[in-house]
Amino acid sequence: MSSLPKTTEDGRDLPDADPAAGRRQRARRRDGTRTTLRVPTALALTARRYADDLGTTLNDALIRLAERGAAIYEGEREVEMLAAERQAAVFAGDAFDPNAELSSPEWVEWAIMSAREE
Amino acid sequence: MVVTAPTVLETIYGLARQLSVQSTAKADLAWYRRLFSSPLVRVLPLDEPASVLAGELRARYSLPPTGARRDERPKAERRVAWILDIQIAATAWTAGYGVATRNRRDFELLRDLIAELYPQTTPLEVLGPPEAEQPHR
Repeated sequence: MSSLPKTTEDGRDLPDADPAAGRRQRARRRDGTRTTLRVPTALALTARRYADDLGTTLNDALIRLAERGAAIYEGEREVEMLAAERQAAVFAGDAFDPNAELSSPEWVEWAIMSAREE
Repeated sequence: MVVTAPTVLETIYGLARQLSVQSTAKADLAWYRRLFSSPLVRVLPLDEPASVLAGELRARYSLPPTGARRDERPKAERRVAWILDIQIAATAWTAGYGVATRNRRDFELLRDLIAELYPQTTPLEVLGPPEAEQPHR
């Protein structure tokens, strides 16, 4: 269960729930571990607005925000894993043999400049 | 939204070269520049892994294989477009992304070329309209 602050960090009162938001719906029941969180003021304000928009409870709004954040995080994590897999494959053949014979500087220059000629 | 640096290059170039002939191009250009610099858009750089892969891909195919399809564009134009497509595919793939494109055929070919080079990896995902609706660019 989250512990929402009643005041900002500099002592100002946080707004109560928007009266125009009307009667709140009952938040859907969730399974999972109950816990206590210290919620930063800015996030509490956002959660309050979100709860008013949805007509739900602050706790439910916080969980929904966390679920959206979790979905973004999982997407970013998947992209990072794909990037790591692909970049490792590109660089896997990069072993440099210091004893290998190299081409002449003139030939290397011609080979590189051919990218502009095709 | 995520776009590649070569996509930004292509967009800005296409609009900037119209500045002297199209009265609304200046506004178009300003709109896209604002979009690309906004926090809504992430521009993927053509970094070291992407440029290594792009070089490998271009060495394999300096021009897109046309197969049975008709392509009316001059060879020089096809070459420029192909190099941009290679850079876009390489940038997206090495950064862990797929591509959304109207030119699905060429990017599916690039997907297959990347898979040939790196068969143990997850292939490039190519999203776009069906072939019949595709223009040449």
